[in-house]
Order: sequence, then structure tokens, then C-alpha cells
Amino acid sequence: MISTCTIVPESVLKRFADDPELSAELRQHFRNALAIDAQMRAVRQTATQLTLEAARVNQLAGFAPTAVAAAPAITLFDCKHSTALPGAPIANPGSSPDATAKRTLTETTAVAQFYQSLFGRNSVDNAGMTLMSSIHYGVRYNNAFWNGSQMTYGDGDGSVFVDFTLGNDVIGHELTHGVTQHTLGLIYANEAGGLNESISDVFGSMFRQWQAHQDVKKADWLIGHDILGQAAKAKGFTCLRDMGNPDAPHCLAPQVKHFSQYHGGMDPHISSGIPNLAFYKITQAVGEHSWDTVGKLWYGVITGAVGTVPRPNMLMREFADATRAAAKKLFPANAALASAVDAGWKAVGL
Amino acid sequence: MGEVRVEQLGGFVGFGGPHLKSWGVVNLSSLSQADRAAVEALFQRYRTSSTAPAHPDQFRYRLSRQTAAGTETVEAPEHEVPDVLKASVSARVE
Repeated sequence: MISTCTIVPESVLKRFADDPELSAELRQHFRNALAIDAQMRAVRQTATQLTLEAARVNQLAGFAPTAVAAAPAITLFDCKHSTALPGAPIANPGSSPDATAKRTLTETTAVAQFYQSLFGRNSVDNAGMTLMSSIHYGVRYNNAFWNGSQMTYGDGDGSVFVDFTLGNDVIGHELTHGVTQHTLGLIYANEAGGLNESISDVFGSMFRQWQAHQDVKKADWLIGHDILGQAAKAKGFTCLRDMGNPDAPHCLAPQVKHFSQYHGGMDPHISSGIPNLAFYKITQAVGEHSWDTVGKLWYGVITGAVGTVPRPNMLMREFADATRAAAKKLFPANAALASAVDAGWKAVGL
Repeated sequence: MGEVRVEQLGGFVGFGGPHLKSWGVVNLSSLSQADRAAVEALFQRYRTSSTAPAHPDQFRYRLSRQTAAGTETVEAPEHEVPDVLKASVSARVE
């Protein structure tokens, strides 16, 4: 009897299920594994929906989530250039000779401290969830991602991009996708996808500014500055994205900056330019540090502290209006803040 | 037997924009029978629809080939694309 293992990619199962060089019996076993795999994916999707619904019900009832730990454990794994997750566990990453391992541990711990000290949040789920990271994923892999339960980082190709763990905004960005999953639950398509991406850029940049003790004027508001390789720098690019100037010529991945430019199906990394610019404009008008006031508004909206109901297909206008309402609810005596929030969104067409 | 153009899209860095591309070309005759079957299955499965990435910052792959009726293009999620196709791409700054 074949044991079903969901760690085997679906593409591999399909390939074997169609391989005429395998016996009919063996091909049927792989088809069985595919059928179970499809059901497991459906269960995982349902589990996510159940998690969000349970959180919503608890929130309405005034129940706080039960923490599994006072602070999250941080665990690291080495993929050793394979794509099998999570990879081999790294014992004592803090004293590892691998600089990537040490850095990932340091920065992931710092992101957890960022959320705890500024927002009172205990890990991505606010219940002390262990933060798992896998490094050295794939071969010259030009990416980092959150897969629903952990972070994963590639080493870059060494030409256009370098080690993705070199960007503390990258680490903050990816972890924040976990926060969004456990709060608003935004899907990764259309306007909700752009909001999802923007929330990660906002908190990723905020984390970077917090580590550098920068106020909103001193911050450079660049995303991906530290992961550009020589091939990108040699052509004058200084970042992937610029929250303050989304379509600037120094951006390797320029974005749209006004809602009139948005269309359905747009890549979330492009449409996120709209709420990114709104956040930037609002913080510039308010001053201080990005987390003092405006960051609190954003956090209040995504966690429902100001009454936002998680809606996976949330529109940008809904989010904008939620921040307007949050300004009046959290800072009722601050008319200048409310005005700045309104003006920031109007500047991007919302 | 023909070629398949493989273009890597999206990801944290946003491949596919005006300056940042990542692509390769694979000769179908160089693929194993299983990989050729997998590629054909992708063209069948995503002929009339595409799918958003399963998780944030995952890649999508745009596959294009020439047929008697012209160019056929589909977009497939990262986890469904055979490794040999994914390994064919290289990033470029334009």
C-alpha cells in the first residue's frame, strides 16, 4: 500500500500518474494520492476560513485568543538548495557559521519584538505562534515568500539580486503576510491583493524605520534596496519599489500611483502602489515616526480594533474609509490627523 | 517538436514589469516524456482560465508555444510547473 505524503508536489504526483513507463497499478496509486491531495488542499482552505470565522466570533464576543507562548519561538531550516520545505533544522542558528542563518534569526526575532512593543501583538497570530523560516531555498532563487505557515528565502542569482535575507524590509514584509492572513484574511487577487501587498510593504518599511530609529522625513521609503545585485545597480536602479514615488525611474518594479490606473486582475505588486503612496503622504503630513499615529491606524483597521470586519475581497475604497473612521475613533481630538488621512487617500483617487 | 517560452512573473520583486524580466526557452524534444506530458496538461488546464498564486509572493509562469492556429499562451502557478522549465529562466534588467 502506498502511503500518501502531501509534501510531494502536485506536479510530481501528476507526472507519475501519467507516466506510461510505470505499471497501471502504480499509476493508480499516484492518482489516489492526487485525489487525497486535492481534498487536503480543500481542507486547508476550509481551515483558513474556520480560523477567520472563529477569530471574528471571538472578537465579537470580546474573547482574547489563548496564547501558546508569551513570545514566539524562532526556528530556522536549511533547504540546501532544494525546494522541499521546511528543510533540515538548524540547531543553534545564533552561533551558526552561516551568516544567512544568523541574520534570519536576528531579524525575525526583531520583527516579533517590533510587533510586540509597538502594537502589543504576540507573533503573526497574536497567540505566540512559532515563526519558522527556511533559507537557501532552490538554486539562485530570486524570491522570498510566506506560504501560509512559514517564511521562505532564496539566495538570489548573485547578479540581479543577492541573498533575500539581506533586506530587513523583506523579512518584515513576509512576516506581515502572516499577520494579514490571521487578521483581514485578504485574498491575493484584484484590489484585495493590492491591499495585501501594500500592508506588507507598509509594515516592512515601518519595521526598517524602527530598527534605524528614523522618523518619516529621514526614512527613504524604498523597498528592496538591500537585495539589489550589481546588474540592477549598474543600470541606476536603487530599489524595487518606492512608497513615496511609485513610478519613479529608479524603481526596478515601478507601480501605479492613482486609482484611475487600476484595472481588475492587476498584479498585486503593481496595484499596491496606490495604498503605499497614500500611507506615505499621510505620514509626511502627520510627521513623527510612522508607527506613532498612522501606523496605529493601519494596525487598528487590519486587526478589527476599530470595527473592521474581515472581508477577503475588500476593496481599496473600503480600506481607505476604514482608516478615515479609525482616525476619528482612535484620535477623536486630532482634527489635523483626520484631515491628513482624508487628503492622503484623495490624492490617490480614493 | 517545437519550443516553449517560459516567463517567470510576480514574486516579491515583481517580475514582468518594464525593467525586470525573467525568462527562458525550452526545446520540447529535450524533455522527458513525463515532462512533455506535464507541459501539455498545463496548456489544457489553463487554456481558458488562470489562477492567482496560492500564497503571497509566489511566482506565476507564463508558457507560450506556436501552434498551427498561432501563439498559444497560458499562465500556471509555480507549484504546477515542471522543475526543468523553472530552471530554464534567468533574470534580466532591461
